[in-house]
Amino acid sequence: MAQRPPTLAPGGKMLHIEPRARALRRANPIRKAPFERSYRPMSGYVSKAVADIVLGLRAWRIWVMLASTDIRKRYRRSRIGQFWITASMGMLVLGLGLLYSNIFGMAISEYLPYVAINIVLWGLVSGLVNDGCTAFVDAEAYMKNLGLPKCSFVLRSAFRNMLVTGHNVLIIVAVMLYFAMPVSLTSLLFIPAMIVIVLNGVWMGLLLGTMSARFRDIPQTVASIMQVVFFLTPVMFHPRQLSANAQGVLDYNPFAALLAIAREPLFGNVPRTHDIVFACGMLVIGWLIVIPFFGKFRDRVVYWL
Amino acid sequence: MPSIELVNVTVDIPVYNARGRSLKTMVFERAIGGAMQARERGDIVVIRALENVTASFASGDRIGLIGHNGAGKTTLLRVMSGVYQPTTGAARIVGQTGTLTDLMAGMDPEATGYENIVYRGILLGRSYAEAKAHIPEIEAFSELGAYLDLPIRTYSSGMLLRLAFAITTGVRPPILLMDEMISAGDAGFVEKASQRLHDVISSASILVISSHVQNVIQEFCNRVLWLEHGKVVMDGKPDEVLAAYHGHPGSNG
Repeated sequence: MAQRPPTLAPGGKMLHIEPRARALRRANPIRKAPFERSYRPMSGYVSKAVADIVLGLRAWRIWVMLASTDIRKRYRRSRIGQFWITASMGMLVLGLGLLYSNIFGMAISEYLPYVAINIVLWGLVSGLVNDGCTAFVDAEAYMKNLGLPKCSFVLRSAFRNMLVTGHNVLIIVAVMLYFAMPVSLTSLLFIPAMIVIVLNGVWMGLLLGTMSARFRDIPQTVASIMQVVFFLTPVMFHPRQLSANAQGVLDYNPFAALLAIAREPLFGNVPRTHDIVFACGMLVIGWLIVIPFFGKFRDRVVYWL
Repeated sequence: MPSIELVNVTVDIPVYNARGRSLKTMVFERAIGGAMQARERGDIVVIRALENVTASFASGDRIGLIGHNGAGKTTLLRVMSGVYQPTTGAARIVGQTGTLTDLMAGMDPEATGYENIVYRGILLGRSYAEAKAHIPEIEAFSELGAYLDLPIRTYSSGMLLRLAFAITTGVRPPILLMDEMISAGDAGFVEKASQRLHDVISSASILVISSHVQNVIQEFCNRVLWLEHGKVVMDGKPDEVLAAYHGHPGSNG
């Protein structure tokens, strides 16, 4: 038993800080079996990442509290408080809906619900990506003083975005009621779709947050790219408005798939298989990449701050 | 049974400047290579904060960390609290650690005293209900009365300290880590606060305190670790280590 797996104390504290293989060879030369070398590093990283995530989930009180405080702080002393999120989103949706239905020559009853749902979903997706970049950098004071599980700060930014989206969903509800959009069992697919979006956002946050702690140009780069992606994703426009070729290109846009799986159920449609497979495939592949990556660099993040 | 085991703990802290952190540098470094690489690499200064520190602490140990500024005391505390993972070597910490260092961490100036009691309580590992249950006790101890209903930005620094002190010393971690003795605030509060501090310290199974004040070390510790340039110079009984520390050239005491 050269490297024990991290064990958990009742207090939720990691008991055993997984040492590096090199140090262990020096510290306990006898315990090291030669065959262990080949597979240890990878499984070590995986177990490190998994241990961190398990502890992070257990410390849910901390990131739930931090996320809700983040929002409360932003709107403190304002009369309607965090409902400014809803209000400003409502104004944006109304303005866009009225203007662009004219530009595109579409009926308001058709275009406004479409753009309202898309903008709210885009807010969630881009929020997860952009806030994921700054998850660790913004938490420097906490990370340097408290030995909390590192993923807590990514979960905090994800939860903050979920809270914001919760306020914005009111807009979707209002629009659906106003335009008397039918609700059926298919609409319930919206919920698993949102879970898929958020879980995708969490792996992106772990990846981008870690990279951004080391390379401070990444948050800006990502923010600029996301601005461009906004125009390349069917948020404001409808894929129907594009040529067949361009529609084919859209199939390779991961953000288009994420938006589609949550949007289509609200219009009473089952999302296209292509979009479901794309979004879920991204989820699986993303996590498979991020777990060893995060396990490898988790310990370094605090040194980069 | 709480314990701390450090085996050859080395901590290297890289210090990046704007260039060292930029992705562009890294990309061009790959593209250009060679001599340029060496020059670019030079931008990253690596500080060896701890070098091959080996020690084990068991229940009942009261350890004082001494050494000059930059000797690695705070880094060692951060290794023990799980903030820093050793670059090489292993640190095994059994039991929950608590720090009495940054009293204000996690306090929101716009939130009221009551809200901050809950925020800070949760950060210290309590549940919402537990944090709320501590309110009466903190109310009584801090003697802030009606002020607890006001945002803490309206507090004087003495009041802020009272509140932070009352909240933080409410936890009783089995492993207590302290960076310098925390000061107890204004005169009327000192007596009460130092009594409370003694309670926290005596209820801890392991105490690690870094301090420049000899009296603190002599009062609380039964073992002293003297660090210099990240290495352990001496580890032993307080009297012996303090005598050697004060006797060695370059000591300021």
